[in-house]
Amino acid sequence: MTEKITPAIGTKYPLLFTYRDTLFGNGFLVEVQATNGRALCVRESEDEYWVYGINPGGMAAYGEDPDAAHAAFRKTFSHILVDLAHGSESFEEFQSAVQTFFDQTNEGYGAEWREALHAVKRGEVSIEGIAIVPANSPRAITVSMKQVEQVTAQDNSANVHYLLAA
Amino acid sequence: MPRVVRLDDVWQMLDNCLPGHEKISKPHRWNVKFNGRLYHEVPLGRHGARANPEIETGHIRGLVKFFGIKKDCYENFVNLH
Repeated sequence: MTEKITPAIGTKYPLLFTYRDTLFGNGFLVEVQATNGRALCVRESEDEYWVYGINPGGMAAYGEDPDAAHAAFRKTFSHILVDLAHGSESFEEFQSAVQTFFDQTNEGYGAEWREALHAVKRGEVSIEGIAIVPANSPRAITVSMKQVEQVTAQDNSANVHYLLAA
Repeated sequence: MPRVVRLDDVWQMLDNCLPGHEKISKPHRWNVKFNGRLYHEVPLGRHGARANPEIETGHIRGLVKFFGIKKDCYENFVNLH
């Protein structure tokens, strides 16, 4: 029988995430592909995990375990894109707003994210079933206009995953 | 359940610790803007907008770190730890 080890309160997981969203703006249909965004998952108390955005820095989300916290974070990310679409009169305005959102770094948690890499490298921190990738994996966000004819059923299955950085 | 703080205490904290900030009302959340930077996720509270709702502390921990608000200021208004 394997014993499940409960991580200590304060355990930090440096994450890299990749998301794809397809959404409507004011007069345009758009795809947003975020690659290797950075976030820090922290076990703040017994059943309280928070994912704090670093790039993008202006958001956080909660769940009872790392998976649930990440799912909430991913949902919030999409909601913020919709907010930005509401506030943008053109594709160019939306593109610029999304780039700014992604580029604004949470420096406070960024420092803790870098610190947390060491524990992953030493093998002290892991998440079951989550692969470990280099912390310096290139980060990018692309916003591209789509034509209705280009939309397929594949657009309903967003490209979503998160990985542990080291 | 996550710990919470009162939204009015958060606004008071920002008035004192981040003077010049701007609160922006969105349909499902508050945004806080300062110095060209935007924090997107201050919730309205459970079940939508209410007077002085409880806000999960993690959102505000994210906010204070994002804007670099010092602990010796914010801890006078909100308990985030």
